[in-house]
Amino acid sequence: MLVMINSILSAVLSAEEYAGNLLKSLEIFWKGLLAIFIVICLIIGATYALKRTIERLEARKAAEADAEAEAEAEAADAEER
Amino acid sequence: MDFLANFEFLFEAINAITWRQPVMWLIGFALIYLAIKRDMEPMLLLPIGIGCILVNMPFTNVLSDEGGAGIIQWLFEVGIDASEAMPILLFIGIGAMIDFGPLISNPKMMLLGGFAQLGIFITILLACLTGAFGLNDAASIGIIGAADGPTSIVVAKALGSQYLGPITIVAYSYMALVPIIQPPVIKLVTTKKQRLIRMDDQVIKPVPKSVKILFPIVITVVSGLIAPKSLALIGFLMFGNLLRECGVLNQLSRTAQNELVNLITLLLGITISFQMQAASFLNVNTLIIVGLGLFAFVFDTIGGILFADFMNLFLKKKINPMIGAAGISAFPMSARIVHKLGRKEDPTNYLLMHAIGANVSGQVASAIVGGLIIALVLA
Repeated sequence: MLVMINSILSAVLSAEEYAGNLLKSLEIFWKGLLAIFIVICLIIGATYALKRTIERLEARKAAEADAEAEAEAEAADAEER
Repeated sequence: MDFLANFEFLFEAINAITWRQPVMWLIGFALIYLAIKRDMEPMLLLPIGIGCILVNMPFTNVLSDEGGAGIIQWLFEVGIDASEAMPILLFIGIGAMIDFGPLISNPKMMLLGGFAQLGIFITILLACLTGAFGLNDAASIGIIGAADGPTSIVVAKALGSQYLGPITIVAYSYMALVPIIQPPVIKLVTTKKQRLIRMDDQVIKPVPKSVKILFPIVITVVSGLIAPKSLALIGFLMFGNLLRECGVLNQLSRTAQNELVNLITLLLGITISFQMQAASFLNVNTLIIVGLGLFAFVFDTIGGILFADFMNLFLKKKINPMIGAAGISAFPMSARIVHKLGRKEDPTNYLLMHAIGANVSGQVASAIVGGLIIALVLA
């Protein structure tokens, strides 16, 4: 009798463990997909921000270099005159 | 008879052989055959194959020696058990091989890499549904879908899975089979019209050097803050990439891409064979893992393609949905397969650089997902 009760109990516990694992795996499913989506969006945002910042810095450097070159050209012209 | 008794020590090992060991030897031979004759991931399958034979010989000093650890057990304890050193160090070499230019030029491709990990989560669910695996083992099996050997090893080890050996074999075997698995799945989930979509108008602009240098640092910081359990993999991947892109460490970059990768790969395969002892490997669950691994790869491919379709609902310049299939981490094989399929439909359609963008994003995404799974399961 005791053996039967024990085996029924362990079957119930196994079923509980099975249900627990299944629920946890569903939780991992939606949390995992949402989490990877969030991380990737952050990485995409950081990449765009990085590209834009570097492009602006390089554009500013190029503009400064152009202004310097223009100033030098004007100074050279003025000297010739 | 007394005379023969003097030579009993010669027959000890033979007498100890059961039916399991010869089966494992055959599996070892099969892996070696696949590596040499079929050229299937020979760098991993050959050492695993020979290791499989070594660890299934009775009474040898390969596993234990004079009461201490034998050489293969020692390699496992130091190279994998202690801190997953071997697969993580391998990521330095992989990072040094990757050019993130196509991805940086078109960052939205990262979304394809992310959703091409769908198969991992579906497989975890399915593994739990079978009732044959606990959550830790199911998650370790799901990570086969990362299509990345080092990530599979790190996650399986971190979750304490007893199926590290079969998971590694299945992961590397299916990575080698990507050219066979992906094309029929891609054709099933896409129409001819979709496969003919051209992306010529989406030019991959050159990326400034400073962006290529800062990108690995930014990714490391973002991933480390949001998914800290992924930092070992992502950090070392980006370290390798920084060696490549910085321009002042070409010698180290070449060493990482060649000598480091070769040395670790040589040892990793034989080390993994520690988990291929007959008692733990030969059971029905190993066969179930083989089936679930295939499922993971198939649904990864489907996840990437379907998300590309979803993105096309909002984009003026459409993405060829096959690019989504390149979002799995099998780099660069998957990108080449997508390019080849595209050219099969239209010989003038060049999808390679776009596919590479998705492919490298899959490499990053799979490492991040590995960390996320460790965090979610152990929470």
